[in-house]
Amino acid sequence: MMERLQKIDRRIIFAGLMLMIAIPLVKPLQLPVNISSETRAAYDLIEALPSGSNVLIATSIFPSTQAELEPQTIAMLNHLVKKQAKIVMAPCYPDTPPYLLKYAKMLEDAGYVEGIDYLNLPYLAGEETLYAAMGSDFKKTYDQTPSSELWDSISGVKSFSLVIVPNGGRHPLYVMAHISTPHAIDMIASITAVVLPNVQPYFNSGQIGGVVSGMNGAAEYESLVQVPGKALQGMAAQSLGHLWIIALVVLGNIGYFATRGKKAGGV
Amino acid sequence: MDFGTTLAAIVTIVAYSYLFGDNPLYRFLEHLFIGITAAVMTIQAVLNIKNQAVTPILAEGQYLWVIGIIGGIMMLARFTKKYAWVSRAPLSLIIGATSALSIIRAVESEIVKQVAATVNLKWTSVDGAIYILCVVLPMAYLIFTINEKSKSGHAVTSLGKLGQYAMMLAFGASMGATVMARISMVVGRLQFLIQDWLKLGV
Repeated sequence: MMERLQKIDRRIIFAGLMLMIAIPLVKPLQLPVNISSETRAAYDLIEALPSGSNVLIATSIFPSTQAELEPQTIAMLNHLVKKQAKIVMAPCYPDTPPYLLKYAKMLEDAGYVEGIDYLNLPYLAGEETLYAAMGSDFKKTYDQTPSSELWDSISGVKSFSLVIVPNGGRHPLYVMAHISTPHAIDMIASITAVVLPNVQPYFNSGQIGGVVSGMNGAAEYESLVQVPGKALQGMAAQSLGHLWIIALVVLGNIGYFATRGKKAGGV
Repeated sequence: MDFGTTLAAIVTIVAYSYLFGDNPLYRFLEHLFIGITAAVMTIQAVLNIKNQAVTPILAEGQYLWVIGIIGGIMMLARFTKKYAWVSRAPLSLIIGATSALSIIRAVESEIVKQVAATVNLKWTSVDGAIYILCVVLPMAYLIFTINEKSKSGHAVTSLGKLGQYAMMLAFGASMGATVMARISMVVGRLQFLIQDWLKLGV
């Protein structure tokens, strides 16, 4: 019996995980959300923006980061709309532009006008070199962008009061080094949970002003702006999924410790 | 329930079917995914060259981009044994530029500011003390140029052993964050299947 605990069929493990996640999605559960200091700091940065401030969203959202970054982005866009911020969105990954079209539609539904209140820049390749170019000469980097009221009002990267970086990799560190730190521009890292250990030291040192991390960060932000979205719904599912994994870890350990003596005796 | 959503739902289910065992539908999807990805990447690369180099040269007379295009063509020499050496020049340029950017980033953001922030931490607070210990102890573990038999070497080795525990804590936190991120991906897909496709729980 105890040996079986260490050899649970993987199909049972996956079926159990799917079931645990699916139940709260079909029948939503309300779980309390504790606001972390990182998410609170990000919220405070946007809340402190004067009306009409320019905000740059340098984003690299793509399908494998969508579940975490999209709810974060939508929650922050909702907040930026409330603050009547002017939003410039720059895709920094080849798969990102279709997402920005979706967010543009969302902004237009909120009364934003393209070229006046928001702007979608074209995708440019380069990753770190792109951010270095943005920091060096923002207008020249995007020199093929057509003239518009918002674009003409921007003279360089210093025209932005805040930079938000939704990304599942090292891009927030590139932006911090080439844009935020040298030009003293506030920055929010909007990241997948797996990146948090890499970004946390820079938040602790004050180099990154706010961090929204993973689906839990998105849920916290949705809770702060009081616009419930997919993250708040997903958190119950995620919590039950974690419970399932913890239960499996405990069962595996029980099986291991219960059979350890027997195996040693048998040899 | 539109066709695109239904197709995406079926593809998601077929992708997850691998968890319960390999099957022909999954293998077909795997090949389809690789094919589509290759096609998209090719088109994206062509568009990058067109938008970022060819158009500025032809429409705006920015002839410096010619150097980039020549460098790109030189990289293709790697596919021949005789002229593979030609690709070293643009490659060294890329490595040099990347190193320069990384050094600028590392010195200011990842060394100076991080050291300053750590030095300024307060020993008296629990968080600060843990933070400082988790910086110093793994550093002791990573000192390899000390005579372990000397008194100071013995002390550093002992501290280094404690540093292993500090690193295990960091790896544990990374592992936990990774599990959370992976579960989020499953939650996102099941939200799509259950709420966007089947319209349940909305």
